[in-house]
Amino acid sequence: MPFLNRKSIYKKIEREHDTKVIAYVTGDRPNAETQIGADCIDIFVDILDKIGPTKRISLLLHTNGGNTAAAWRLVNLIKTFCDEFEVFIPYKAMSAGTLISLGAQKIVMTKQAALGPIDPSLVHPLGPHVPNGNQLARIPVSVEAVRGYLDAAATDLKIDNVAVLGSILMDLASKVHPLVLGEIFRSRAQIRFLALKLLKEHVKDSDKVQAIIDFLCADSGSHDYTMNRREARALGLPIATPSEQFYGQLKKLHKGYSSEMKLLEPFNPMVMVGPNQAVNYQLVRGLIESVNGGSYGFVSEGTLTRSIMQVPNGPQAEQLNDHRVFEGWKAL
Amino acid sequence: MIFFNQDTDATLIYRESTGSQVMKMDRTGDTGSLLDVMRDAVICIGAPGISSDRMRERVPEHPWGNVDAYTSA
Repeated sequence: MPFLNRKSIYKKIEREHDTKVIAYVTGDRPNAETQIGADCIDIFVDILDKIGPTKRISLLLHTNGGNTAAAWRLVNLIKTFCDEFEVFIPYKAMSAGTLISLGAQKIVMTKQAALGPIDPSLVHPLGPHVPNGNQLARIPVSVEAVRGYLDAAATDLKIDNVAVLGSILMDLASKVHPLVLGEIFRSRAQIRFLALKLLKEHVKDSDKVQAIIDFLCADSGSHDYTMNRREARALGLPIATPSEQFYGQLKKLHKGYSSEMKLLEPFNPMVMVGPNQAVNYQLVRGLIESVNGGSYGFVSEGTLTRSIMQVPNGPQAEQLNDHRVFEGWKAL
Repeated sequence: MIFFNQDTDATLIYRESTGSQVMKMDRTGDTGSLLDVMRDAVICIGAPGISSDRMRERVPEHPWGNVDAYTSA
């Protein structure tokens, strides 16, 4: 479905719900995923300037998450342009997407929509790396996993001897650099602080706020936990159910951007090049769009070329080169 | 014919190096094993922007690290 078709649905939603819609989709196409990042802010500024100060802004979100600082900045940016901020989730707003949703006065979720835990991971220059992998890359360290390890010693194994607990901490510090551990505990405090600030603007019951934060940060057990609207509502979040007509619109939009971004087809260069010698490609891996601002895509463009490589003392091997010529946001 | 996905060690090595540096990047010191797996193979060389590393390892963008909340699909 091209943008023009989606635009007509955005227009209908804006008219029927007295709002301004901005859609933000970070692609989850296998092998071509994108995440919420600070680079979206400039695009949002342009779109929001075109909308201007308004009563209500509705952010349609489809994301697996991303950078927590960018998510926090995005919520604050949108809120400076409106009195009421709401989020539409046709399918999923995981992790940092859930963090964004915490800042909304209303979260419209379809029956298949999912929210998820907001506990972050830290990728630090002094963090652990895969022994035989890229020596510059670091494995993300889950903030709650470190906390869980220490809690397991004290709570589950009931170790209360200070010397033994000290040796457990020393052992952890020998595997994860102390500066990384320091950043981990700072990040843990920060995500709770951000969630608290976002929630307390519209959830007045402080016990409820604490329960939401505890569940989303730690008590949900693992980071891939998904929460449907019934559970989100029971937790105390301001969840709304779309009418049948509105559900149909959200589903059409989801189908529309999914087909444009080919979210259900893994990106496979071999399949893309097929029997050809070379093929140019353009992948739309993220979308930010609105009625007034048009459609912006996070685009990767390049050429896939087959060539023959001579292996010393061996037969020829076929090689596929990916020559990337553009990667970034552009108006579609 | 063997098809290497982009997150295999061989393609990581190729991504990070020119052909002449391949030997040095195979840190086992045994380049023979790498050459063995390269025979009869199609190797995809791609930018690191598109990859699905199972460990989701990545190069930190800041000295203080990246704090992300992301769920793999």
